[in-house]
Amino acid sequence: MIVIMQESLFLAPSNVKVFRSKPHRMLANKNLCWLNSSVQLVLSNIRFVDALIDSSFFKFHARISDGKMNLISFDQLDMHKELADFYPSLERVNYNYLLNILKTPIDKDIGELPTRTYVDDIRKQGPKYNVPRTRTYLPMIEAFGETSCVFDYLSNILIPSISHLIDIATIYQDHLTCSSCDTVHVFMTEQFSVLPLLSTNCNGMRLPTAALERYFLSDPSAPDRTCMSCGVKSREHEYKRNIVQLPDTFLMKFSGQEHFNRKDGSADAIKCFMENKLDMSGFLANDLICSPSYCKFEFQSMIITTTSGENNRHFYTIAKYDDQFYRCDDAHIEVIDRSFVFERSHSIVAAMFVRAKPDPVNFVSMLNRIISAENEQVTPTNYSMQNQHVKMVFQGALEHVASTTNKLTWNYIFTFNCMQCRESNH
Amino acid sequence: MTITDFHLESECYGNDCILFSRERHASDNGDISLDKTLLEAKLVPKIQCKNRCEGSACANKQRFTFFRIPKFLFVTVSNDFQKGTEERPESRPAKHKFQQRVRLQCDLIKVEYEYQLHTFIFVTKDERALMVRMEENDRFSMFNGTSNSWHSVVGYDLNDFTIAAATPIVLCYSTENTVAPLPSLQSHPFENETWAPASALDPIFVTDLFNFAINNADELVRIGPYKLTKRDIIRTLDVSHELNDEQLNAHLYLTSMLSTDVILFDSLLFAQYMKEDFKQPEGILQNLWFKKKLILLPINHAHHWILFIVDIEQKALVLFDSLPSSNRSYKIYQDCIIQLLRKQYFLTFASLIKLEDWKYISDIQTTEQDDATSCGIHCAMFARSYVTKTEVLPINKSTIQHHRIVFGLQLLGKNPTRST
Repeated sequence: MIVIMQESLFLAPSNVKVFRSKPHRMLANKNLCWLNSSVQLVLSNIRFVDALIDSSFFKFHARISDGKMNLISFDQLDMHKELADFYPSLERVNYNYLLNILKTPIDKDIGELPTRTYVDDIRKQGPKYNVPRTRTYLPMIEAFGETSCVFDYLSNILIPSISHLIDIATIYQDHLTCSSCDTVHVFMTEQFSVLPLLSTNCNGMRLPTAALERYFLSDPSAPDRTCMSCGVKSREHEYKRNIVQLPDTFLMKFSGQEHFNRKDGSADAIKCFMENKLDMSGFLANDLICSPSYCKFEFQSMIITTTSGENNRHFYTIAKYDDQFYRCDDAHIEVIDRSFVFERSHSIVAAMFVRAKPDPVNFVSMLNRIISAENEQVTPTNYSMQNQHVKMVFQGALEHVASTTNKLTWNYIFTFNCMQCRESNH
Repeated sequence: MTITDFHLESECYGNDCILFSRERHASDNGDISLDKTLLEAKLVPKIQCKNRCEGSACANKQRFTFFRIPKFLFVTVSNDFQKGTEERPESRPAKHKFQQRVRLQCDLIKVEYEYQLHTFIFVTKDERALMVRMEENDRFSMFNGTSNSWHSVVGYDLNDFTIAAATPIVLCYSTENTVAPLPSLQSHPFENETWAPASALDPIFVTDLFNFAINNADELVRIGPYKLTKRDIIRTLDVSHELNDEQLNAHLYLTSMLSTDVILFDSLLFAQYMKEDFKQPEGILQNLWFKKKLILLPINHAHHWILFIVDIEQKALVLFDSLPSSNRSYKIYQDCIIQLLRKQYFLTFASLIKLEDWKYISDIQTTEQDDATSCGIHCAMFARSYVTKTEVLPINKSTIQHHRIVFGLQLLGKNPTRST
């Protein structure tokens, strides 16, 4: 058994195990800033680290040996071999690498061999590009020692694995209100793990609100569409893009261009200020009934880019641990003042926000009380505690409870003849 | 109207929960049009014909009906005062918005459903979610989650709640009757004068035939979708054995195969329908009843088999219970079958069934069951008599063994006809 000293681990008053430590040092001088900054970004999320350690995937149990000594003990064997087989190989590789980082003492970096193995593994198991007119496929990630795109790594490799452990899905809908029959149609529903925002024209402004306003602003140049109810095509249709579900951990990436290039997509020329608090209430659908804290987020971490020459881009992370801000530049971890974070402009590439005050209301238990008889004991329903949307948004709770009972749903049938088919058959 | 009058190309089902809005959907007197909400918000996006053409604009000859309505429904009331409008709460009292009852109307099928105010929910500015119930004399009681009980609150009026609310208020309404009102069918005596007399079979011949058949049967006997082992069939001979679902359903399946006009709606499917309603309607509405003449519906009620027969030709719902008792009520099954009947009729003719023309037959005079285990045999034998229009032979303690052998023999696909 390996016993490792952590800087500060304590039991929260609610007996919830919480990891609070400094950022982890990463391997320096190997052109790995794209990997290091991304990993440091996600590991600053306590909820994710907790979920990772508690997942049944590992034969790995963090235990408090002594409350005063702050010891964590790890079993020598890390993965449940049998359980691991159920996971896709890329996720297995990712979790194992993150676990190795967590196991590494805080004052050391993970070392070259595990990192080299990891990069080789994600090149082998991860997504690949097709070379046009050939049957050749090139790995999205470059070989060890060469710089890869931070967006490619975050969006296609690291974040998809995280999404299985914590709630990071943002869902928005494009609505169309018909001017003839007043029917509201949902034309498009999109879900993002990392919201792709444009920081063009945001120079000197506060992110992410400035970029979000551009993203969710209704587009006057949108093409006319035909109403599905009355069949009328009208110019007076009203388009709206509204968020219908917010995640517990809100991830976003910023690009200076419309399309993300592999190596040159970052917004390094655009310098913006970062916001400490983010209020998403202005982008929510109007009819969403939720507690006000559902849309209030706090800054957790961000990736910043610096450039000194065309092929000399560097990424580092600023992360918050216990209200203390750290600058994480590969192996170099440095305490910084909050004024450096919020009062200076940066070329921000990606940011992570977490919900400021989760769990103040629980609509699910209220609805269960309503549908139960007066003196009946309400049994708590089995829903994912990871996703606060179900509890904090009335509509989410309603959909959830409706799936467990038939007391809330309309059951109907509709029959029709399709004119379109008949014409084509004719 | 004949079946060919309508060629229904596509249908879609829904099991949806709707959040109504006071401002968008309700009129001042509390009327809500289902056409505007349920049809447009939930149904229109689902319309897609078999060739994947989308949109109700391309559909005609639309017909629509409800299978079941919810016990609770929710209406949101926006909180104008909180949204910073000029209007002061005194000028527009909250009471005006808190309708005591709402009436839901569906123009397409000309029905109305009425709901009474039950409770209302809102979140305060300090992030507390409150559930409040309106009591008599304009008093309120509030639910306390810690003590899990309601406590009356004094000195509040509705405006106080609307001012405290940080979000729109959700009004919860409830109703007692969640199925569309069904007319009770007229009771009618059982008529079997035209049935052929039954011929008794020679017990020795039947026993020999069974022994021969069981010895030559495969270890696993497949009867339509049902699978029985030899051991399952031999167990049916035991007078203390209660038939299980597989055994009775298999026998009734063979009975339904005697004619092309008979369908079996088996006990497992019925149990699924009772439990899940129409969450998976494709399986439940697989066969069109109104293209047939008889539908057999075996039901296991607390370890007792009963049999419902829907006689399409006679427009009758027949209940066969080998142990009739005034204590037992099968109303719940009867209502479910009538609901199924309505849906099947709708699927075939795309119009509403006239249930006034239908009759209910339950006083079937056969030998009453005189043991605790042979209800399944009684049901199986009655079903076969009804399908073949033959009188039922008396089944009692002295003849049950013989009937069980006949039952087993019929399961093996033999239909003995030689009489004594």
